[in-house]
Amino acid sequence: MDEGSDITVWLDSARGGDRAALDHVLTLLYQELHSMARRQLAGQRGRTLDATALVHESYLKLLGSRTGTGFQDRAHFFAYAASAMRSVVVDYARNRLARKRGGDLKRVDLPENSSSGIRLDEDLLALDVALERLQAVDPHLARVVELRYFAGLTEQEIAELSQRSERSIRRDWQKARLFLLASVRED
Amino acid sequence: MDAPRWRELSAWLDQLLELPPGERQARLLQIGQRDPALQAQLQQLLAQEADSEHYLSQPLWSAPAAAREGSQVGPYRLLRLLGEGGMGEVWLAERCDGLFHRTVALKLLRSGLADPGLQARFARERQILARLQHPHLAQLLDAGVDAQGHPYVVLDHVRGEPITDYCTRLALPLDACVQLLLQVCAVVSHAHTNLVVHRDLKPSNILVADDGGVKLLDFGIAQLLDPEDAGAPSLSDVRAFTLHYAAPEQVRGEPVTTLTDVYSLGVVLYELTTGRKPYRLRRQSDSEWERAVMEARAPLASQLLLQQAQAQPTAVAARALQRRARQTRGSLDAIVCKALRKDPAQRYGSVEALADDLRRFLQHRPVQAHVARPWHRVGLYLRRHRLGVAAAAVAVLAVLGGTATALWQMQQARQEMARRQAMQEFTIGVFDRAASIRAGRLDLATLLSTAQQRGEIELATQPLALAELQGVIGRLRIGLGDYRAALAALDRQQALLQAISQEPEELQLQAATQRARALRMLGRDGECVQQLLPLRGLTAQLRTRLPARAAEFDSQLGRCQAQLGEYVQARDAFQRALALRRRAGAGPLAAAESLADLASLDAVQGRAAAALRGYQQALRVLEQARSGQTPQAIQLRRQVGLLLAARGQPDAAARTLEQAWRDAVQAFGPGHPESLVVRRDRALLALTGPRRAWAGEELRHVRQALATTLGPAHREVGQAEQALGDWARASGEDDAAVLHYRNAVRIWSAPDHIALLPQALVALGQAERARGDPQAAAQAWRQARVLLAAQRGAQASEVQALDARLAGVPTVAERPGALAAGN
Repeated sequence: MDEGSDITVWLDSARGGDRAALDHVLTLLYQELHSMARRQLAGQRGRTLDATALVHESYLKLLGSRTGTGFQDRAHFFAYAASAMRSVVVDYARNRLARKRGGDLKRVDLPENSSSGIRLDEDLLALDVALERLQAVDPHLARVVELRYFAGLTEQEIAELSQRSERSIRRDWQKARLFLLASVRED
Repeated sequence: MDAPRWRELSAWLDQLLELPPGERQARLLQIGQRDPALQAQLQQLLAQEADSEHYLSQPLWSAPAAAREGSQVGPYRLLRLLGEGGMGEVWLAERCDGLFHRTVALKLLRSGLADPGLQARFARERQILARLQHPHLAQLLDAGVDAQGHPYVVLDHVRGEPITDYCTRLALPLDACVQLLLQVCAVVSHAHTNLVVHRDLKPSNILVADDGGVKLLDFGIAQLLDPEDAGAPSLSDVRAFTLHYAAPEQVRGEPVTTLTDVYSLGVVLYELTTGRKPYRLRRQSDSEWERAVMEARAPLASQLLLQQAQAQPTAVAARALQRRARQTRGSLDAIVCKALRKDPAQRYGSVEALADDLRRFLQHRPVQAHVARPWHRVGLYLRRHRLGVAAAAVAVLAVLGGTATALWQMQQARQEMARRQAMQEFTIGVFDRAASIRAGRLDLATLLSTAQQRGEIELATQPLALAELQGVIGRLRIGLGDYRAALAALDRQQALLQAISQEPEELQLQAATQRARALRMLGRDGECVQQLLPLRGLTAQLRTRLPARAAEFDSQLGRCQAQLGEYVQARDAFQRALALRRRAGAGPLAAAESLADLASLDAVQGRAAAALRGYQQALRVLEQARSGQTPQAIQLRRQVGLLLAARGQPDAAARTLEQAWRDAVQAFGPGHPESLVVRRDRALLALTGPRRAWAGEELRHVRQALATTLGPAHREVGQAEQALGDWARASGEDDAAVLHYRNAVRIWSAPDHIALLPQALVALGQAERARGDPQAAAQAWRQARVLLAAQRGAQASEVQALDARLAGVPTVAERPGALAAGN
């Protein structure tokens, strides 16, 4: 992993609309989250993964020690982290499903069931598809879902990060779930 | 589904999710009439509501508690999970650096993560909280941020049970429960004097320890998490609290004060008394709770107890509850109600005041909660305005929803959606922020000013939305009786619309109509007609496509023309409007409006019987539509009352006007011009008879109030002067009468009010004659005759009546120029 000292520069560029910088940040995050997930599970079989802890740890690792980290950086960081977390999990589910179909299930590095009761296979992929649809029509709501569900942030934290009232975040969360459920059930 | 469609659905969901099920269904049906596909999509989304409460409700993964036993947080080792709440987890912990050995309660907080200022703030606040020491307070021992960025606090570990459980388990008598709550009040009050507000008072934070004394937990923790020095102001809206015990201002995200704790203590008192929370919900969801906290009225504690008594299986249990209901009824009911007032200003002014009243209750002395305060009426006024605020929100949304479809058919849907979204976000923003401008109180006038100021900035790139906003504000201001401010907003709207290259026709028509209405309300009828006449061609073109707007246009035009004495044109306009409304099936309210307009013409043209018939017909239409108390019905009753009085039916007139007055106070409040006018007419009925003196007082008050709100040259002030003249005449004070009538003549000599002038001149003549100045009388009558002959024709009965009067006056040489005002 690259040293985290440059991350704010990358974040700045990403904010300025530099797509490559954004990809770079996401890659960093993705790698970081992946390796942390593996570390956390290594030798601790049966123990579930704490997505919230992962995201916050990666935050501290990448940004936390720096002084003068602006609010915007934190907000962006968590948005990226949540979205990275989502790709980690979705990739995992895809692999898992492929291996299940191919009869190769020896390497279990993530648990089969999440604490939310969603199975980490078709269920999660269906959610991912619905979330893509939501992203297409309302990126803001999709971000709330990522922060809430994949990064494990509370409504209050999301409200702080997006500088909106907790009430409006709760309403967004409600609308997003209506959309996702309707979408999942339609398929 | 594409983005614009979803934005539309999303905006509707915001609205529908706020509505209780019945209203929601009605609203959906309404939507379906216009757009069945939209209704179907909304219904499909809302059908998920029940299930969605659980869907994804837990984050994808979180570590189970057992996994963290033995792990370290700061210098503490976690021993056992004691519980979990909205703010975070509570652990039994001990210090691992051996500094001291007792076990403590460690709260791992979910909030404040990734907030760089947290550590510094914790250090500062910790010192303030450490100063808080009280025998009933669980002492704060430490606070910090752990390696993962989670903030934590360390408190005395209290072995005890929540106050509600304790009282229930021991079946404590009511007095004992209140005694316990007094202990709580003592701690809270102590903290308040140290400027610390609890913000999250609830039974699980109020424990009764093993020794039977109360221990309060978590004081100031919410405050600890409130980043008051963070840059963005909206951050302070974010708070940790438990919805069941939260005060309305907390739910609304408004600033929290000591009165917030008063409210929460009220909820706890309610629960201690009845065993239940104050609100019963149809569905247990956060949004239902929010609505209940902000809107629902808790049933009286004593009544709830009686209801519970009826449901008891055994007579013994029922009797116990009945006894408790008897103890609660009256004083304790009043105390609970006062603590639970939605408006902080109406609650107890401090926790100490609540405690005082609880002590009075225990001593069976009269409680303060019963004593009406002078500001109670102020509170009622504010509450009315708060309804106004809700109405404004509805109005804004209705305008957004209603005009959008027709308005933009030819334009790109994308652009329209951007505008609507901007407008909606803006509207919500206004309410969000207006709320925090003045803690706890929000009046419509402030809200509208905020909206106007912010609209100019935030909607600068959306001139059409800004124009629409100004239009809505103008209409709301007319509704508030603030016609001058209304005109200012509508002037701005006009300027904005003129700057837009392709102003939408409907909006153009509506804007002109509303501006004309404001002008008429200000008595500037000539300008009103000038505003409208150039648009008659456009209106004629739009008659088929937009019948409602065209009818509104014709109504306003007719009213201004009628004021100017152009009765023939006015009648044409009213009949056009009525025909349009009937043809388009506009509904009873609109039709009644046109009927009333026509009746008013009959009235001013002296056809009293026809006018009375017309008004009564309109009123029947309204009553059949269950709209008997609307502003429109109030107007009609007033007219009916006046006509009945003129036709010599004083009792029927008095009854009608009395009802109009009651309805007006209810609908507008007593200080609104519409109410004042009813008040004036009601007083006019009492000119002779025992209530003569009262009538004089009333009329003087009305004149003063109208002059203040509408300006001293307003035509309604003229009406009040005329009424005062009538009163003086009836009292035999002819000199005073002459002065009042002259005031009326002066006000109505303005070109816009010329239609009213003859009646003042006729009355002035009569008063001059009565006080023995026949020449002055003749001069006034001749002037009136010229005007009346011009307005109604030389053959009109009023003109002939004047001729008869003039014939009885000894002739002198006419002075030239006396008729100037009539030309």
